[in-house]
Amino acid sequence: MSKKLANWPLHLMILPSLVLVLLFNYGPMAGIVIAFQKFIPAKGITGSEWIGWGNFKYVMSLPDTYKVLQNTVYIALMKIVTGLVFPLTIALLLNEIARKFVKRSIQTLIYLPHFLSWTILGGVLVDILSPSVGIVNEIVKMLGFEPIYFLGNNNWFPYVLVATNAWKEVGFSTILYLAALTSVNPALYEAAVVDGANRLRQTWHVSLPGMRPIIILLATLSLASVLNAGFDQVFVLYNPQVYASGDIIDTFVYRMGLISAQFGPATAIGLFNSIVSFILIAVAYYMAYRFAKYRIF
Amino acid sequence: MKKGKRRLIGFTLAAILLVLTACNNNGGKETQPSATSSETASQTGESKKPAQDGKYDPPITLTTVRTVESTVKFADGDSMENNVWTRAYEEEYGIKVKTLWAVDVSQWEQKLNLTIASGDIPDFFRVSATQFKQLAEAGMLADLTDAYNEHASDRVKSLLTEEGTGAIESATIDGKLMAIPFTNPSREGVPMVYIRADWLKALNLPEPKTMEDLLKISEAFATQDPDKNGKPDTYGLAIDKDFTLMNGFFNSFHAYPGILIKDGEGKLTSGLIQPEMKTALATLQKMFKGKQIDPEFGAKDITKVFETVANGKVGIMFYPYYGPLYPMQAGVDKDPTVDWKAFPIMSIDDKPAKSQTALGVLGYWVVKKEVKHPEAVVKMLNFWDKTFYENLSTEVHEKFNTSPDGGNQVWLLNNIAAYKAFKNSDASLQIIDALKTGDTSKLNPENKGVYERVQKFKEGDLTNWGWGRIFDDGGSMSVSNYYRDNDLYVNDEFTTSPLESMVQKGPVLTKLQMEAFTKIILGHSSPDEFDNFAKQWLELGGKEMLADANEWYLKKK
Repeated sequence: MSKKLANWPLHLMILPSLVLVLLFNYGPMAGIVIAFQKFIPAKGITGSEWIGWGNFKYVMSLPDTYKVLQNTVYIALMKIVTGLVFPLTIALLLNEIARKFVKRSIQTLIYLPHFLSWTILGGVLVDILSPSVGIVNEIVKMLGFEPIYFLGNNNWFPYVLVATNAWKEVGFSTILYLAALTSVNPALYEAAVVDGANRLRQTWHVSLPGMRPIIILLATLSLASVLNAGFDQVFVLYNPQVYASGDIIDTFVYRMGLISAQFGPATAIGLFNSIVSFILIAVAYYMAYRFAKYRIF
Repeated sequence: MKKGKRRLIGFTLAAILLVLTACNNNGGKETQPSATSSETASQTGESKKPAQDGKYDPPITLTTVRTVESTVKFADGDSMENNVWTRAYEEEYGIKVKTLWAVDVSQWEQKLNLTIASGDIPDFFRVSATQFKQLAEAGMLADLTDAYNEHASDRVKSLLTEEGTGAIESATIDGKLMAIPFTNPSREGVPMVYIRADWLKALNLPEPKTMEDLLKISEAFATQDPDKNGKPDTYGLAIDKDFTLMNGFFNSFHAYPGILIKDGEGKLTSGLIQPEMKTALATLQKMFKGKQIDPEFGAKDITKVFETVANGKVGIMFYPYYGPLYPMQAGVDKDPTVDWKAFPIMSIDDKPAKSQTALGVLGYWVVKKEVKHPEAVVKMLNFWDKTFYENLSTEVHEKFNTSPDGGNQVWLLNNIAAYKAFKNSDASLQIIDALKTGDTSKLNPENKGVYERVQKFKEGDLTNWGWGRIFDDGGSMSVSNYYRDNDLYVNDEFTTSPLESMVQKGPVLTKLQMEAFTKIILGHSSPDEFDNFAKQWLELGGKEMLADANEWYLKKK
């Protein structure tokens, strides 16, 4: 029996998930054809009129589209950068803590916000960031500055989104880096110490190079989400004062598709979003393979 | 090793089996509808003579789809298919109702759109105005004109026309009644002004008569420390970031955002862009500068604003009659000295203030074209009216309306309903009467329950404060009745499903409006910016919308 055939039970095990993916992820994809239709639910996909690029042209003619696109890319890029830098830094710092108990406690504490939904956090953040009673502004006042209206100021709002997102997710991503750190050969540290390297030098010359593959991998993979600035978070936090800096593709699609039932144009933006993301994912996988030898199969 | 491998295979097979059966179930569910609809056709075909008033014999089956109501608990063995309502339909009229699917209300719109898109629609169901229009245009609906004229009871007919003929007209296409409107009280639910009565007393202020008075009260609430805690932490007026609470305020200035009104020449125009709106916004800006409005209102949605109400931080709120139950009762629970009183909205000048109302329709009950007995739906509606509105027996009330434990809203299991325009107004009149005379014999079981709660409140039970402040004399229902007696309404002249241009331009225009209004109130732009907004609103699609609306309006006449 050849080696490949001997693994058939393993291949069989993948079948259920394959069926599910085909049924629920690939089947519904046929629905994207309504991006090219003047879609009327009562007439259905077969009965609706085909209008070619009409929906795309319509969306591009809307005054908000470019601003929304710009906001999306800007917010998402910042989230990607912070999503890489903060967890990495924290992982390196945690690694230096000798006491297991302290290290574990910190790890658990920063990991907790990940489990709260944005719906809950939204209500909490309105209070925490309030210029009159919020704890953040109490600190700002103590430092001698004027209180800042974080959720009502277009200059601040994108950074609030990025910062709160980083706060929520940092603990979760840190785990990956911590795992990568454990795979660094301890003998290398010992060698470095023998060569007279201090803690900083050890981090720079041993820890970081050891983690390089996972850093590159995560960086390239996150490229794919450059058009995904996070619907839930923006939806619960934005308001008319900060539409100019906070409205993103997802909230735009929500208002158009779900609130006013313009399925055609909403699908058109969604499709555009998917295609850009698809190209970026393809590029990211290629780069991940090039630089980090990462392959899915 | 060998054992392990066998185990693995066994597990894999089990997993596959599980998925396959799951698929099968799915498949089963999906084939069911078509099977039942053919069954329906054959059964309805058999009963050749439609019974004029009595039962269908043999019974007919109608399929439907519906929402699951979270406040309903099924009795033992009951289900969506088989419960007090469906059994009654069958006993009374020989109509079997089969529910093809039922989903949570949050998924309803989506799921129904999918069902409609599939082309395989149930025999009767509820749709939105837009869906109604689409279905009617696609020629998928039955003409209900005869069914309604011949079979609807007089009481049902008057129920559907309580707020005028608008509801029925909106369901009529080319002179044919294509749906039964799901009427809903729009006038009963217009906003009124709630004011902290205990603060008025604390500051020795008289009750307001005009909007000017109200604005002065708002100023006093913000500056004179009505809660006497020594801190300037109270606000005059409650506002949320989406302006959900603001229609009453705007109406006081004779401004009517969100509806179409008639202009001087009898044409339709938008209430949103009229000069009265500018005055109202300028006033709000002044109030904001005077710290009468929460400086952070722009980030607070309505639930956040309710928190400030419950925490006793705000003294004036525009809200419908149910305000005392929520959120105000929460404030009373925290602090027994809190007391809110309802007033009719006041006018900024000598003209009376009128509230804007939209067409009181929640949706439309439609019947599939192929159904042999569309009148069956009308009969079920008659039954609804009989048991829900006209019933005087406690037993029937507990069986079909609300079970005695109080929490179970059995009435939501109905398969077709229409709401009375002034149910609570009428109830409050009866209750006030009973409170005066002590004679409860005229009250139906539901109103008797409310009567007892109001009685408890009058005896000092503050947990029933909300019921007292709504139904007792001088409560919010009395304000509703005042509006009703004096006909203080401005109707939305646009009474059909949204036109294509409205759907298309809606999101952009709403965003424009929200941004412009918020900026003016916050003082980031001057009130004169409103003129600019009105111009932009017209340019970005408003003009097109109004042109289309006027075209419809001419045709309607």
